[in-house]
Amino acid sequence: MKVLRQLDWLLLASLLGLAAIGLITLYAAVHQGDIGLWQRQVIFWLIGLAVFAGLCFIPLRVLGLVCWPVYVLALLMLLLVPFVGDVQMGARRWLNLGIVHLQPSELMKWALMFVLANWFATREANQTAHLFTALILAVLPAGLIILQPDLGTTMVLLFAATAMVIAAGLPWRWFGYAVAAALAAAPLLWHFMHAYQKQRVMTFLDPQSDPLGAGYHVIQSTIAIGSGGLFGKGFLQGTQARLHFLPEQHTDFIFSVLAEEGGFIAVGLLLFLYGTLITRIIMIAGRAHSRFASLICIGVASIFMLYITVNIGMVSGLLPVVGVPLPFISYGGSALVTMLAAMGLVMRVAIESQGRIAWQRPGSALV
Amino acid sequence: MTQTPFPVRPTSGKSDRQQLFVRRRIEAVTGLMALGIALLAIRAVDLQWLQADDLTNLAEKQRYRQYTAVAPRGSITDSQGRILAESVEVPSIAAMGDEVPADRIRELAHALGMSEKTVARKLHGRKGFVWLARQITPAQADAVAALNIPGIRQETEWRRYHPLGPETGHLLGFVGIDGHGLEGIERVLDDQLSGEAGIRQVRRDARGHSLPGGIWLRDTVPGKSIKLTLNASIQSIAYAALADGIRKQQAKGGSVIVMRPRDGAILAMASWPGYNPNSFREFHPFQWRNRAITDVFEPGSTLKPFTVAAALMSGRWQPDSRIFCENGSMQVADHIIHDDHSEGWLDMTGLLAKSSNIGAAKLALDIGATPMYQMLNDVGFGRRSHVGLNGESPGIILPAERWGPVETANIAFGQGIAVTPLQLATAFSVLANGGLYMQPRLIQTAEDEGEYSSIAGHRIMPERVARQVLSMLEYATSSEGTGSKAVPAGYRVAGKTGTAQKPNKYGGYNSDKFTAVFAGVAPADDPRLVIAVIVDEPQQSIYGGQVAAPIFRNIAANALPYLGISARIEDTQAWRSMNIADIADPLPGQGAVGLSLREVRHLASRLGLSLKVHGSGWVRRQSPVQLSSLQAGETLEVWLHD
Repeated sequence: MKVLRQLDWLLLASLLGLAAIGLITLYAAVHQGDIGLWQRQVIFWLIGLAVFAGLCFIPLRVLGLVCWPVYVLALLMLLLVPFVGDVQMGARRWLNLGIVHLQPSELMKWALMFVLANWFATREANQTAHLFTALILAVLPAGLIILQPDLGTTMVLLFAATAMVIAAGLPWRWFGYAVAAALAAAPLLWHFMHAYQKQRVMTFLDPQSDPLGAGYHVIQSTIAIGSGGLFGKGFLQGTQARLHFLPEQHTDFIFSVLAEEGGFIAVGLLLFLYGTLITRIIMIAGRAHSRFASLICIGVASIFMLYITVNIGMVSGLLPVVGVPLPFISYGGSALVTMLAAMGLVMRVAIESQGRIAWQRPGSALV
Repeated sequence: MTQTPFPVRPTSGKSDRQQLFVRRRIEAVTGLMALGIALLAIRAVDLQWLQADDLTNLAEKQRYRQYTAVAPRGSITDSQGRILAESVEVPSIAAMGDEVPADRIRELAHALGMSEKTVARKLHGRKGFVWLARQITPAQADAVAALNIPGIRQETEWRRYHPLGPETGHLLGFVGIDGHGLEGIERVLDDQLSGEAGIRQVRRDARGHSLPGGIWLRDTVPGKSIKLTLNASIQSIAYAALADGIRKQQAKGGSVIVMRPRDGAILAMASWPGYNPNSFREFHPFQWRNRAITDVFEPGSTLKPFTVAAALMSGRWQPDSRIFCENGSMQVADHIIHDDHSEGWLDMTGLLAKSSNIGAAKLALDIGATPMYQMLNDVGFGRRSHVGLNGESPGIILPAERWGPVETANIAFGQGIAVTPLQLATAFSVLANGGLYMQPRLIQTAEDEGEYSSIAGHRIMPERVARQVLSMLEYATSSEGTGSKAVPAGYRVAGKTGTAQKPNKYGGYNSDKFTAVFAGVAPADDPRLVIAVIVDEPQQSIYGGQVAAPIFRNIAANALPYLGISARIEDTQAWRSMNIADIADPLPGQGAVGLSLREVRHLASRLGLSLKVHGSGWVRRQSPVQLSSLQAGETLEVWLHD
């Protein structure tokens, strides 16, 4: 297998390291309740790794071809959601496709990233026309998603788009304007926010104002993280987790379980692995063989980064509560498989960047 | 590009330039991301290092819960060890508010015998522990347990139970739901009865569920048991007799105290209206009051025996001294004293039997205020007895230096002085006990187990004086005296009636409100019981002899046989004599020998003879021997001996 030799082993190693930490932590989080969740997550990992491996063999150019239709499809589905979507947890986000429930916003997140990468692959982000097109591409889905309402995904979407536009050469001056405009728009945004979203922001600003209500989750997870100390309470010994003080401990708040039982050592290891992964992705972006590939890596890295920051920031009381999973650690099949697929793309970039694939050689018929 | 370790084929010059630009910008993006990771790392250090101790404490605090396990309260028993108050384990039902399914509230309410609405209201909006029904019956608890509703838990609590209910209500008091005595003995001896609550530390989860196991931080120490001098049987007898008498008289209230004169042990202490301490909340607080120690009344004529005793002690008066009773009206200073029945000359016995106010007043005026005051104070009036109950009244008695002639005269027959039922019983115990004052006692201590105790009394009067007064009081319960209704068949009773107008709030007396009193000793020849009966505002009759004396008789007639003191009815001669004396004139030649003092007085009055009595007990010798030789108006002389 030539491909094996061309693999980026550091990327794969940090990925597998995260898989190990994720499965161990998930076991700790669910071992008292439904252990079936853990078994399902193992299966999701296997499926996800299969997708990951499969994508390593698919030329990146194919993605460049399919990204536009996928974007249009995702946009259409987003338009359908307000009319035929299912309501879950107070928000209309899901589309029932008969066999699977799909979140069009999840699909759009990646589709937008590919489309932007493709758009800027041949364009510099310093011309008004180019930027305006990119802005339309981003704002259309972002507007639809925020109406669902889904603040978390909207933020991920806009952050990733911003990161990619910067990487594509956005003049800093313009970036400054954009930030100023966003700050100016913040009061307007507040005005259009739903009551529960305002509540979250208020709770974030002062969690102790309602210690048994909305602030309860954040306080309990902060206690869990802090009481873990340097070395943690030991595997399966976390009192906050075992005694149900922690909410949602197998999904959004799983970081608290890890921090409580593994202490600062485990948190440090996790952050190290994340750091390695993201640095590696950016390094791959830096030496990618094409702008398109570079931008895709930047997009993937920024989405991961945002997930990690928002999730850990939320459970440790730095950010308001926004429902965002912790990549590779939180329970959840579709998110995991999607992220592994993204890693598969990055790995494909790494493989193609080495220029050892037959059709990349000089004289290849495909070039 | 040249520094890259692997050969990438640049597709075009333009593409290469673009690549360079991306690469430059990548550094900016990398910096941004490194900032994010650094932020998270700093937060981790902050929480897990700098704040670790504080947050660990918080976590510890919320995962442990300390239960206070209430110790079972000590029981209260009577002198025979019969339970008067005990703590029983009762189930209570609590719920974890948010865990009870709404669709099962109806069943739950039905099992608890509550309305669905009440249960729903208690559960509404509650997340944690909430009491649904405290101290319910085991049957109810079983019914609830059988439903097996999630979130419903059964807790064990202690409930105080007083088997005799209202009979001992005032004396024992009651215990609040928090396990502390609020009234009576339960309150006074709360420290001893309570024991020490244990502290149990258990782990709990966020829903408030206690996890199995846990450790005792402090063990529970059960409360000590208390033994009273009380006798449950006599208490029941006294309460029933009091209730019966008060019902017949439609009186407002009343009290009874039964004491054992030998050692001051209180055998019964009951008051009316009663209340049930097992459900004390259903009664008004004024019904909780132990009238036998808190309420004062004017003792009226029941004080006269002590006036006579003081007179006898002064040496200026003898039992057979005669005193002129002014034919029913006498002026003292600006005050006129009346007798109910005008009397002429009376001896001491007659004075007590006819209950002459004027006679008593003249005695007191003769001996002076100080000896009178001394006597009353010595037998316990005007000071607390320290029997060991809260709220005891000292009574009201003016100091001797403030007694003018009017006060002295009034106090001599029990006006202008206020006493408690307990004080009256204690004072009569002095007469019954041969002049020895015994402190009244309610709590049985280890050393006075058994029938005869070695507790020493305090001598108030010579034994001779006490015996003489007791002997006179025995005559006061004869058909010649006011207290004849106090005597149960076959027993000898020495006692004194009393009827007093109740003082009104203007410093005068109510003309239509009375206190009827009887205090006495039974049997008179071997005092085993002192019984004081006070009836407040009787309606059918106002007189102590009509109202209180029958209650005394009922108690004595039931309590004496219970104590193993049989009626003298079995004594053939006494039996025959008594019957004859009651129903027919004596046969010619019938002697008085073998009769009691009461019976011989009865006999003498039937035959119109005046009587001269020597000694006490039973008639052993008479003069003349043949009663038939006497004409009405002549004197029969009898010598009595035990």
